[in-house]
Amino acid sequence: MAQSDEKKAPAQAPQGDPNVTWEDTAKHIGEDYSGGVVLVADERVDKVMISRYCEPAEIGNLTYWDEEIARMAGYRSQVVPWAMVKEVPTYSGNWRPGQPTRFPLDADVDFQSQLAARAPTSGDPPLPPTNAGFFTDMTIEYFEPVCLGDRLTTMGRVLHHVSPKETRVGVGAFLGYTTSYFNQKGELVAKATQGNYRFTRKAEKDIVR
Amino acid sequence: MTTQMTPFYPNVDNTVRWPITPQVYFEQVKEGDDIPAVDFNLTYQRMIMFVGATRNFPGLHHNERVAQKRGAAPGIFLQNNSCLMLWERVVSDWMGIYGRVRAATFRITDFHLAGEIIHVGGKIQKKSQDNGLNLIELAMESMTPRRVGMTGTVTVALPSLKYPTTTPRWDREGKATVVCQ
Repeated sequence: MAQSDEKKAPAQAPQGDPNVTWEDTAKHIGEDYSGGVVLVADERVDKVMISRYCEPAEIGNLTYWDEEIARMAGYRSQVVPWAMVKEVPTYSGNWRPGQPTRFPLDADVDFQSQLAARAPTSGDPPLPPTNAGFFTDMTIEYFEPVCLGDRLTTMGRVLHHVSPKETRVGVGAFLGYTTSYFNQKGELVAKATQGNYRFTRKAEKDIVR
Repeated sequence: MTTQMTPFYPNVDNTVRWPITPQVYFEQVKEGDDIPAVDFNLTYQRMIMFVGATRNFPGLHHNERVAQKRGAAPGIFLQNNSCLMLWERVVSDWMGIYGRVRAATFRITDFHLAGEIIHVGGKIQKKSQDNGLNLIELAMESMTPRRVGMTGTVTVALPSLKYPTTTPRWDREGKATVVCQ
């Protein structure tokens, strides 16, 4: 198939149940879809993790870069940027010794490997059919600062909202899940509700750019 | 004849290498003030740096074909946390080393695409003293070349002139655990 034809193909195989409506999905608000899994980050926060994170946007707050300045400002040690808290320090590894390859030889060049676990999940509530999706919004509160040496734990994935809507790219609904993040002392460091848009993609000619 | 090898180790530099930017205090800002904006040039190289920094590797963010097929996007676009990193830069540069972010809320309304310049700015929309904290609510906005690409608020706890070197802290209820008013 030519590349131009590929772009017009359906986004991906439809997922979901045609007998389910978004109103049915909304009845599951408040239910936990983490499966009770407590996800402990593989790696403790270190200086390199913070520096690499700050480089692309050139984030220069010195509490992220200089241990003495962070201590002067009242922190235990160098601080994790607030935007980073629920991201890199919460991840598990993309591959570890003894695990099978993430990149099988028969994978094509656009193959999407299943890499690190990012959030505890036991799936979703019943959903109508959709064939595409992306992140849309987030509300996050911060509590204890995250510093060098901390090891974070991620808990919970509670359905927070379901809002059906047609947008420029498709027809579907905004879904949000709430997750909490703790340090190694069990102190709450952040609580976030993340939203994503699950939708059936419109035909290419109908998408408003 | 043998040659004496002398290892050379540079002296460890323990001095502070970077200048500390001026601190902003609660009493010095007012509602309606803008905070300094930044323009971000999203070159392909930088897009890949964002992918590596966030360890977020779905093809939507580094592979044009995948972005078009699975994301309904014109091309590769910044992942959500990378969009937030742009705000992190603008807010953290402004709030100084004694400021702390209490909360953030944002909605992405347009793709941040490779090749674009994204303008990120913020305005102080609310100033309040709640639960022992000096809170500043910033209305934030990222502009793509087409339309608003991300909008929302970031709430920052600032130190006061009375306690100029005290970083705000709070508990699970958002009540101050360190006096800073």
